[in-house]
Amino acid sequence: CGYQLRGSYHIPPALQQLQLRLNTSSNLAMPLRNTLIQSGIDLDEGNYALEIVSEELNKQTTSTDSRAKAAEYTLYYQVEYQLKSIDNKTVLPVKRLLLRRSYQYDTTAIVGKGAEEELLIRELYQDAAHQIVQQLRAFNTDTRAP
Amino acid sequence: GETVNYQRLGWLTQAEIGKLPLEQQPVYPKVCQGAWITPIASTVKAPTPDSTPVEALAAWVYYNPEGESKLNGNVRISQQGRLIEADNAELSQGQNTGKFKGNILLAEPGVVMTGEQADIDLQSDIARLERAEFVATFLNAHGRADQIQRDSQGIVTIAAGEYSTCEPNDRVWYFSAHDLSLNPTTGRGTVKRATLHVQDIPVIYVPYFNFPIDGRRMSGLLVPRFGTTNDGGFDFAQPIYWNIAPNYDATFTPRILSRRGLMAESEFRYLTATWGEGEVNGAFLPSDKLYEDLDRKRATWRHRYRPANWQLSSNVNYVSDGAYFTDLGTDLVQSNTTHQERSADFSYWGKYWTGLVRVQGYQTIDPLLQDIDKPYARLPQLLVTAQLPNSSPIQTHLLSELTHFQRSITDNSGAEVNGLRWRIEPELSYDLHKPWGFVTPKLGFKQLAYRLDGDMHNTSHINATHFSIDTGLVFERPAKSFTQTLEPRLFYVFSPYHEQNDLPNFDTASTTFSFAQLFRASRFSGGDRVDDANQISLGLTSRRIDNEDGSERLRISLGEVFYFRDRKVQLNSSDPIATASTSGLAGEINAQFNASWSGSADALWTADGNTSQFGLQLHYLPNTYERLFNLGYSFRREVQALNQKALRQTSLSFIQPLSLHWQMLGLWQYDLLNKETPDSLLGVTYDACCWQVSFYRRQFLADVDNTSAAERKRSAFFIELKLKGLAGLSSGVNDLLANRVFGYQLIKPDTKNNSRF
Amino acid sequence: LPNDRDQPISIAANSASFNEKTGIATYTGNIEVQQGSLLIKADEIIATVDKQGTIISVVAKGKPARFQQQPATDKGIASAEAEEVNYQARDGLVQLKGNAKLQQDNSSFKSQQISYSLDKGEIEAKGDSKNRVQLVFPPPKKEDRKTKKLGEPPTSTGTQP
Repeated sequence: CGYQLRGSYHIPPALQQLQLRLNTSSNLAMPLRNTLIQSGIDLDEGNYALEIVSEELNKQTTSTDSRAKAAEYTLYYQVEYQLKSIDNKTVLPVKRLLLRRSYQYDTTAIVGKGAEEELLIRELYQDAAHQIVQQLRAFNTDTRAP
Repeated sequence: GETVNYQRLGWLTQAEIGKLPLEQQPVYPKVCQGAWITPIASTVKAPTPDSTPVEALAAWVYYNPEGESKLNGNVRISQQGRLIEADNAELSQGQNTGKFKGNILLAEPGVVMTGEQADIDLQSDIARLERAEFVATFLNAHGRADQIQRDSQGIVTIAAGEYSTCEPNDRVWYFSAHDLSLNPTTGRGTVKRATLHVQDIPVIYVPYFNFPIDGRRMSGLLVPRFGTTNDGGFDFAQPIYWNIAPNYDATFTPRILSRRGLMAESEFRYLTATWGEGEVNGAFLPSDKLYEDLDRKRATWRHRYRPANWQLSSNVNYVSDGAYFTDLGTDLVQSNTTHQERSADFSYWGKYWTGLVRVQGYQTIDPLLQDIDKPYARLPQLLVTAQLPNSSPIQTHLLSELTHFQRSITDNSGAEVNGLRWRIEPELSYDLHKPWGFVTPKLGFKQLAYRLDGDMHNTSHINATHFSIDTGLVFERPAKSFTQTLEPRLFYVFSPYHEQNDLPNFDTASTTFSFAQLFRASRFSGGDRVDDANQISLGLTSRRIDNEDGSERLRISLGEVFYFRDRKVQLNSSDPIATASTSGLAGEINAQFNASWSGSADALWTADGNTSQFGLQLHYLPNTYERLFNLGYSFRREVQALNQKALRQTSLSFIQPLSLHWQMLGLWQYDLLNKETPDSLLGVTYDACCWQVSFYRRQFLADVDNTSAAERKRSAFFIELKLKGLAGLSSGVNDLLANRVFGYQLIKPDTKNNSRF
Repeated sequence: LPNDRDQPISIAANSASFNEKTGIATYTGNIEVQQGSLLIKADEIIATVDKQGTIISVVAKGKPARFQQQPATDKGIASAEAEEVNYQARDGLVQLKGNAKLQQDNSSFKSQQISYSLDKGEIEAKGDSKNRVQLVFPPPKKEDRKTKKLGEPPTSTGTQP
């Protein structure tokens, strides 16, 4: 039915080498670097840069129990990133990625649920890193600044 | 005052702006009838004045290199980033200072000043205008003043001035100030002896206040907050802002609740170079008439000091009783919290390792929680995690923790068990990643040991190993506009059973079952249990990737765990042993239909095939960001084994512009099981160019010591006034919406982001 | 230069005529007059000369007529052009009429009329409110900026807290 094993990461040649610009204390730094390296990209070189413009992580109560206490929390992680050439000649529009994960809350185990939240957050960063690298395939060098 | 030539100051009506070429059209709120355009755009970088040549035009020029030069008649002097127009001008010897007379216009990036008489130094920023009018586009403000002066550091001082962000011909409010100074280097504006006039009536007098002028959240002169609640009666608060020093400020808010009494709230923020920044706030309501005349108190202290790669922080919260937030809270998000955290941390980030020393406890404010269900305090917790860099496919990861857990049981709801817990979890994995897929075998060891208070000499410990292998393939079928992927994944984990019935449970919970849980090595979060597992998870994910922009238009995942052995390890010995041979299916769908519409669904089935839980969400969020619509439904069946209670809830939220100025927003959560509305809110906002007023009506169910549902129904009505560009005060509604309405953050970008991360 | 006047004058032109009595000489056709650092180029020149043959005044017309002189050793060359250049040698005054341009020490003037005193360096330019005088002067040099103060300091209000 037309499916075959993926042959390449579809990283455009111009991006085989890529600079990464984001503030070092961001939790996205480690997973994104790992995913880029795993996709065969040499980091901190090349004449294009992947810049993380903004990150935002927040938590919403998505359902409450019969005593109006939080029953389910959803974590939203939004990251905006942009691809540009080092000399800023080619600047692609900013892309926005919004990921969510939810978990059932348990008021009798809030410390354990806190640990689960940290686990979900790590997975959100991993998922975001994967999708960002996956979107690099759509980059073609002739796109000029908008 | 005399009529002002706003045209000359650069005011253009919408029609005039429409005629401008596109790139010159300013971005301005649609509710304004026009906008200020300054001759020199605010984005122009003005080099130091003494480095660019000066060009002058005049009907008559007398130039004397040895003495004063004179220019008369329609004089115009321009340098890169500065423009001066006047009837006539006298330039000093060497042309570096000038006296200007007669309808003067001084323009700089984003700023215009007009006046009758001016002394300007052409080589530096020093300038002084008499009887001047001014426009500052970065503040979207205009005003007039007896004198405007700027010194060599660029600090602008406006004496006896008026200031407003309203449209010039429709000044709804302005404030007059004896002395207003704008300091671009500190990014602060300070005002002395200011009076706020609304429709020309003086409303509030403020001796001194200070506000940011560089786009940071506008605080400063705070306007009153008023509303009514069905329990507290009329609620009026007038915050008073006091700026003690550039890096200390305080807000003191007396508040009257007609049925409860007089209350005081205060907030103190500090920023020190030597030991960090933070805030202390508190509230006190002596003898609340509706609460058996008890005192109601709340206090919070947050601190952060991060000089280098280490950080000291604290987060201490206290509240006098469980109903405080539902009765008095303005931060409406808090009304459904059950605990108040109090913690102090020391964190250290090394090159490959991080360390944490934490002291943490909780005040439980939910009266129905028995001591046995309350959280343990960590007095202290020592945690070290280390990870070798990712240079080679071989990865090592280490977690080691030593914590003393403490929880007192006074209502004999169970035995009191406190003590020390030690755990160390090294892991070795081999990460093979290829375009066709990945293979990640992992070998882990875990040592868990306890020394409980009361029988200090006897320690119980477990040494366990676990092995897992995570592998997946990626198949692709490229088509013209999208690429469809098929990604089978297999995850096997084996860890032998160790008897743990008599182990305490200090900080462990069972993780929510979901598709992601299929590929996790443990079914617990926290450190008190060593999984017994011999299972294999099979999953299949299919993605539809848009070839043009690489975004994921659709992702469908489905998977299940097959158990080769019962799961005998439980959190408490009373839990039933999980004997089912499969976990039941877990599925997830995420779809981005187009730029505005997106949806998601997730579903879980139990081993016997009935649905255990499913959730649907639909979001409409156009990238014009001025409206949104969310619809959600979540269903949970009662499942003993998963300690899962039944739940059927819908949630709906929307923001809908009604006209150019009016906008309606609503939030409605409905509980189908109990046929009641846990939370609902309807709001209408009138948005004018320089002010905004919102009316909200909120109805929610408060949990008040298990009284009848009617008693629990709370309704509140409040009004929120905002003077744009100057001051604004949200009565907590913004935080509530930011917490409940998906996408609300994007529509109201200036809302306070309530994430605690 | 101040001693231009006692330098020899050389005048080249296509044709010339001289009226002894009035002391007026008229020259026509790409004329060049040179005396020390003074240089005039024009299509038509009327020069009046006194008995001893020193120039009293020169009226040069051209499209445009050009004038150039170095007022003093420490000053740059002042060069000017206009449809009519009227040079009064004795009081060192140059008057330019008709889209006149004047340049000195990289300040430049453009106007209908400019009058320029070579000794004192003063310049007066007249335009009208429609086509105004255009003036460009370089950023003042660093060292002579320190001495300048902005008028008297403000007395009562506006002093920074």
